[in-house]
Amino acid sequence: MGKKPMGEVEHLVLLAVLRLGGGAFALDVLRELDREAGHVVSRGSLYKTMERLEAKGLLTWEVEDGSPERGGHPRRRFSVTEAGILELAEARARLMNMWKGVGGLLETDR
Amino acid sequence: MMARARRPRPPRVAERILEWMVGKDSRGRSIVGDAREEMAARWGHRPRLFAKLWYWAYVGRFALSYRGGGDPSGLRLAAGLRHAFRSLSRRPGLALVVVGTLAVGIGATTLAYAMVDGVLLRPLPYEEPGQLLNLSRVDPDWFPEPPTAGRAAGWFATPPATFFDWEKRSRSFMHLGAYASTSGALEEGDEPVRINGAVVTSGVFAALGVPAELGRHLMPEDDVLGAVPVVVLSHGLWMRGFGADPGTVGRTIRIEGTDYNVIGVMPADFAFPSESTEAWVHFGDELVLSDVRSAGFLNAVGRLSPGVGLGEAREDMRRVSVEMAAVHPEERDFEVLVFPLQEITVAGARQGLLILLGAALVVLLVGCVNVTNLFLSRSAERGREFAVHAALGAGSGRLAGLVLGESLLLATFGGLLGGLLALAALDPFLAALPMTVPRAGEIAIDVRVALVITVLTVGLGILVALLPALHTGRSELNTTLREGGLGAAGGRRSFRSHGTLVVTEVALAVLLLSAAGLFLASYRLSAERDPGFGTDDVYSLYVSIPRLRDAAPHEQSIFFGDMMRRLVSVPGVERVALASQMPLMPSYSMPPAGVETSEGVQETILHSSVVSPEYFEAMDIPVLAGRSFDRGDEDGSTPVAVVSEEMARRYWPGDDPVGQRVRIGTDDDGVWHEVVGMVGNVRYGFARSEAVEYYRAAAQYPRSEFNVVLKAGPGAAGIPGATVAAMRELLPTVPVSVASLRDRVEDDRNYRWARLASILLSGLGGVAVLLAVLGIYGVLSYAVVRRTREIGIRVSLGGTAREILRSVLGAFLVLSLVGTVLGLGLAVVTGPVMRSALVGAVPTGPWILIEVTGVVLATVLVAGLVPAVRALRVDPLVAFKTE
Repeated sequence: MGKKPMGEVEHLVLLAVLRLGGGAFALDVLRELDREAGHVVSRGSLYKTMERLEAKGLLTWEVEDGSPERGGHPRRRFSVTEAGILELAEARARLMNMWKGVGGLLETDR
Repeated sequence: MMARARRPRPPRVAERILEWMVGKDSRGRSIVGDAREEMAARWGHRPRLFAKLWYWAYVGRFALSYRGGGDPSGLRLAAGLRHAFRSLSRRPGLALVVVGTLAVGIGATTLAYAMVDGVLLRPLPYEEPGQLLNLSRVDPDWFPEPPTAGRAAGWFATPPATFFDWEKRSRSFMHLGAYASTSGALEEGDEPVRINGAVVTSGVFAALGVPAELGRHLMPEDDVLGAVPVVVLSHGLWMRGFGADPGTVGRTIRIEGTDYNVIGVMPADFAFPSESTEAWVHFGDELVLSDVRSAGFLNAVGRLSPGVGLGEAREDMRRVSVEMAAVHPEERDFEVLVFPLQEITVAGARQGLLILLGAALVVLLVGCVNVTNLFLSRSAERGREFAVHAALGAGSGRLAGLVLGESLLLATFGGLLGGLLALAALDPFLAALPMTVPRAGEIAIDVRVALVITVLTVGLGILVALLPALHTGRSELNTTLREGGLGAAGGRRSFRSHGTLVVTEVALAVLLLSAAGLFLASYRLSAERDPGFGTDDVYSLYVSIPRLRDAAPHEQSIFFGDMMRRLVSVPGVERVALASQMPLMPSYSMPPAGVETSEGVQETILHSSVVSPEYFEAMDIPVLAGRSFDRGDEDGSTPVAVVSEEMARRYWPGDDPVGQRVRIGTDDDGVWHEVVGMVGNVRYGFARSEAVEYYRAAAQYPRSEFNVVLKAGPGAAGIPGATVAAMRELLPTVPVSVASLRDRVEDDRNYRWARLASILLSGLGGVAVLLAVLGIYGVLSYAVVRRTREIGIRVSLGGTAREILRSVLGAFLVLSLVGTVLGLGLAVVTGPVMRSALVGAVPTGPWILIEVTGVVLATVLVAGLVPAVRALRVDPLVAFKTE
């Protein structure tokens, strides 16, 4: 394939953006990760991760005007690109493949 | 403090750092916006301080995680930090003490520097402020030689006619404007209010070069005879009094009985001549026409023409004075003082602020000495480790680098924590400042201050490490190894360094405590000294009746007579009196006068108040000779005066003042008054000495404005409210504010400053002593630990407690004494500077120094005794086992 597979955080961020639908702002993504995945990401890593996803062409954003509590700073609305959705689908297929035959083992382990 | 702001603002410096990390494109700005939004969501309804601290922590965490997000250089940095953390986490106590000590010093210095920066260093908020000068006409007899900006600052004594001559004759100024502070009743809304303002010529605005926020400011056409009365409002007054209505401009408002056309609003940060100025009115015909030259009430501000310097301007004004004296003989006795406006603005606060900064630096220095001490001990402790490193081939530079790196890291943390402490203290601190320091509104901890703190922090990191690093670099390895083996006191060099540090700390503590003691004693002396009048059950209010200004004298008398009768019926009021000027109330004048003495008539200017007969009794001012005024002293009877004891002492020493004569007014137009009595001295304010003063009878000098004095009987508590109600009924358009003289004492600017300065200096002195004690305790404890084995040997050889104490404490006592003497020397040398910064009484005598010496020596001794006693408990058996 030639390209590096996604890391777990990248994976989770893309999923969070998708789950949030049309209106994914950075702070919402943060909350979503915390609430749904139990994963507390530091702000710095979140933004870094998003920049990496953007560089890979998996994530994109557009600028919106900011509210007063933002001191007039703009905000970014994130969305997953088509490439991103394909990548997620591929990743899921890879994982599902690997999971075949392992499920029972884990269950008996419990 | 701790105001609840609905939308907290992030600390500016922290936000700049964040911006710097993420960039200023829309990506970066959105990240900064996210941070703001998150802060608002979390902390919008909590005290601002928490929000600020949270934001700083946010930026710190962000720095670690954002930069560390996968790129190799970030990883290296993170790894480096982790390594240093790990090395220090082995000695958390050391790290904590060092960071805490530095934080206290850096925090205090930051705060003090922010004050110095905002008040003294920052250029005035006007266009090219360096070109602005202040001009005051003064009588040189009343000025020290050379004259100081501090004296010139408060010297509003230029007559309008003189100023207009300056305008015509001077050649050095592009713009020249005259100004004086004033106050007046603004009749607006339900209740009239008294506002502070200034009468100005248009030249003031032209010189300062600040455009109006709304409408326009004064223009030359507003200065001429017959001009329509106009007023410019301050931003604050416009907001508060007029609901920020843009339609205010163009309206007519009534101030002190005159209708003014509102022509503009100045921006929020325009504060000339002072922060309390709320409106600027034009001169008006009366001032434009005035031809009085013997006395005045203005100062002038000028903008230098391009290429003209201060010296040339001074020379120019000398020429102008000479020219004017040739035309108007009254101008002969005066000269013009020209100082940069910046100096004039901050003259009163300069020395005090610099002393505070000096004190904060002393605390920082004591802290650094302590930290150096700790590092020295640590490097001595690690001596053997280093020696092993060196034996394995590490150069001495590298070893020194180990110590240096560690101290830089600790200094950084100390700096950060100190900065946070200063930020946290800033708001409560500023809340205590108004009416104390000029330009208090411009004090802020911003990038400028942060930069200084950063430089300071790095400098400290190096300084603190220098001594131990040199020590490590130079130490002879063989000696170290041998000494370590013998378990002796860490080497001679180390002892010498420790000794220097003890001497320095004691000396600095003595110096700082002496300064604090001086300010405290001055404050106490001033506060306790008898003002000459009663304060606790006396109230005052100021009443000005604009419509009576041009009324016949008997109408004025009748009006105030009626008002006094009305007020005396207020429950609780026992006595009512009038005074044109009285202690603690603003505005007083010193008209020219002549005093008949045995050596002829002496021309002078003196305090003079017009009072009603009840005044002395109401104020508890004793009549010492002759009589007070009475009903017989009325319009048409012999003009009479009552003098203060100080005036009698000065002009008629040894003679009976009763029957002497005082001429009020100048040689040409003065009227002779007969002195009928002498009363006790009063002080007009906290920082003032006994006034040389004479009183005149209100019946002989009716006026349209008076201070009203109310002396309370039983039921005094209700007086302010009942008086306001009675006055409102009588005079609905006159603002009334009643306060007890006790409250007015505490509002006195000098009082507040003296109190604040002594509190701050005492606090800093206390911290310095505490740090010194900790440092000394540390050094001695360490010495005892290092000498455990030696002491064990002494004990086992039968050494007595006394001998052991002497061996432990002897050198230390000598060092403390040397430090004390050195500190006293410094205190004596710096004494004159300190004393000149006092606003109140100047304490004399050696008592402060003696007390300070006692306190420092006692504290230091206690700090030394604890480890010494521990030395006595050394068990020889244990001592031998420890090595």
